[in-house]
Amino acid sequence: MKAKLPLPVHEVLRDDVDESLVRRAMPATAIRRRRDLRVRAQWALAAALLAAVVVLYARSDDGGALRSLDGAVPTVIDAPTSGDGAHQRFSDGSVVSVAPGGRVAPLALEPRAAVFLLERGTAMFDVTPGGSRRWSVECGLLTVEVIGTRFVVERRDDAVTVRVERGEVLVRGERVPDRIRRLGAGETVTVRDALASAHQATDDGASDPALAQAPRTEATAQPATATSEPSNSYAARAESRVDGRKMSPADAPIVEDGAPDVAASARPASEPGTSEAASDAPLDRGRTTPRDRVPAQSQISVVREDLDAPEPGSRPADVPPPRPTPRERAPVEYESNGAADAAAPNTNAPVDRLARADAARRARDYVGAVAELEAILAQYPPHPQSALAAFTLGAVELDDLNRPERALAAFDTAIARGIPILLREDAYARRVEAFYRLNDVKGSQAAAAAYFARYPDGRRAALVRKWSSAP
Amino acid sequence: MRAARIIPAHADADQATGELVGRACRGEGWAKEALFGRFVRPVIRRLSRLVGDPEEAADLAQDVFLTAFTKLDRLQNPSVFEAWIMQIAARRAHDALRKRRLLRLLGLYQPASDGIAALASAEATPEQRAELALLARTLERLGAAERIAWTLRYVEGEQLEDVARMTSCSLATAKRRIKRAHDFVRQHVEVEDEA
Repeated sequence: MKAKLPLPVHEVLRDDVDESLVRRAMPATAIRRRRDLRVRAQWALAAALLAAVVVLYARSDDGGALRSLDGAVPTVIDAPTSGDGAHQRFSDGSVVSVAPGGRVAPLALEPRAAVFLLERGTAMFDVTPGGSRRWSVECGLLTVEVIGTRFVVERRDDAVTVRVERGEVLVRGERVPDRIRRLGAGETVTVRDALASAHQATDDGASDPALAQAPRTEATAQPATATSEPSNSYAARAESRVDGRKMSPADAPIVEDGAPDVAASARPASEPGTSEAASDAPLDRGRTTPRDRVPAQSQISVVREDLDAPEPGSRPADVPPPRPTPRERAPVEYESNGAADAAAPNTNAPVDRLARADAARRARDYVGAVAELEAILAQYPPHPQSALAAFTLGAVELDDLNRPERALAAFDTAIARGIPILLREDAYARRVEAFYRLNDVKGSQAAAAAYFARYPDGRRAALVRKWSSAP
Repeated sequence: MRAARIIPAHADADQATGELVGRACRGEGWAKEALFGRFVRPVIRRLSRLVGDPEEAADLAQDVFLTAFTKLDRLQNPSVFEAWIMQIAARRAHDALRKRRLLRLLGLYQPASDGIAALASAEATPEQRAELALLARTLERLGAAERIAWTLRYVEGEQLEDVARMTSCSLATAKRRIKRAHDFVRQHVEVEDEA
């Protein structure tokens, strides 16, 4: 019995081929199958394209509403007054960092819009560019609209400051000149609420009996008509008309919000000393509404309304209206170093110097910018703006003047002088960059170690790693 | 009017094949059908032995003929059509074996038949069938290139030069592959010594 296979093996294999296999191999059949395959491939391609479009659309919407990085619905970011603040990362890569004591609440997180309310304190919004979702930040006096940028918003009782680190934002608000301003990188806008400032001043005065008495005395000392004392301030006239009566605190928001005035018909026509000027609605409101107990601060807000919308026709022809100074006219103090402000303030206050430095930087006068910033550092060492000036100085030295040594010193100064927490990480990161630009490997590694000790998962970790590892 | 299907009664089969190839190149469909009818069985048989699966061999034969008819105008010497199409078949078999190896690594391959043992003739003894089954399992463990070379040499009985040409490698490489595969096969299967 044969056990071994013969070589070649085909001796024990059959040579015939099934006709079914031959038919299966016929080219016509193959062509048909190929055609079917082609049609199927076309359908598959169309399906794949459709799926890609769906995926792209979904990605453009980030799968719907904005979520935090872990998929949860974002909640209020409330940073305790102590510590390093709080931050939240979102599904589109954006980050909101809140300085200690600050609070940011999400108002609406829709596929096309994300609206936040900065209730108090300082917050930095690092918005990932390129998304279809429009971010906006409400902060009382202002609304900041942004597509992709990084900016810091600081909300105080009497002012809101917006500083743009990267990109551009639109700042909208009733108190903003022309109601809208565009801010670019490095630009800052501060909107002050004179009402709140005056409110604060009044409160301060109330604590001091002598001061508290002063404005009332001034008001009541004037005759009770604006017509007889055109030179008086509107505040004095307003206060005289409401006779110094107090308004309940609950009434204040109505006044502040600029609610419609009470109809003039409700005003008593036979009021002594009342002229046509007495038809000034804000003043009437103080007299005719049930809320006729107007506190001092509310009176001021009435004055603000009066100044906001003076009605020339309502004054007697023989009494020229007082011409308020710009500061008097504006109910809110507006300070900006934006490009739209042609004339930079001409004082040596840190804010003004910062504004001039930014203007110089925009005009490519980097040396001039450095001079302004160094002046701030020299003249106002303990001032809060000093650290900010040092940080800006470092950026100018590093980015514009290519002087990393001086930039390094400036960043060190910024850190030493207490740079705001939201810029602190950038200051540490830029120290690494300065060492890197100096080709100081050891220095950059030491600076990177200092950075990672504070920010192990920092926003700029990748760049810092690159700067510190490069030869 | 359709051209008359007149093939000169050449004594040499290669010459007849060359004539068919020439007419097929000129777009005469019947010539392609004739070429297919003449070579489809050898091609399926060769592919069945190379890949060990007649069904898959039939599918591969489709591709072989489609490729051949598509590239027919590149064939410089029409009389070597058979060697050329067998070379294409060997290449397709090689691709199929590599694909099968990948599928096996991914756990997606299930052998459809008993391999070369399913091709045993009626004259084969039960012992030889058993050895063929063993050979089928052994060949599955070889690399595609070595398996093709060994099968062409020791199953089909091709000359070394022809193996090298059909597998598109040098003679030395073909010899080396055949030797390595043969040593492996002899460890597992009882085969007769070469003549």
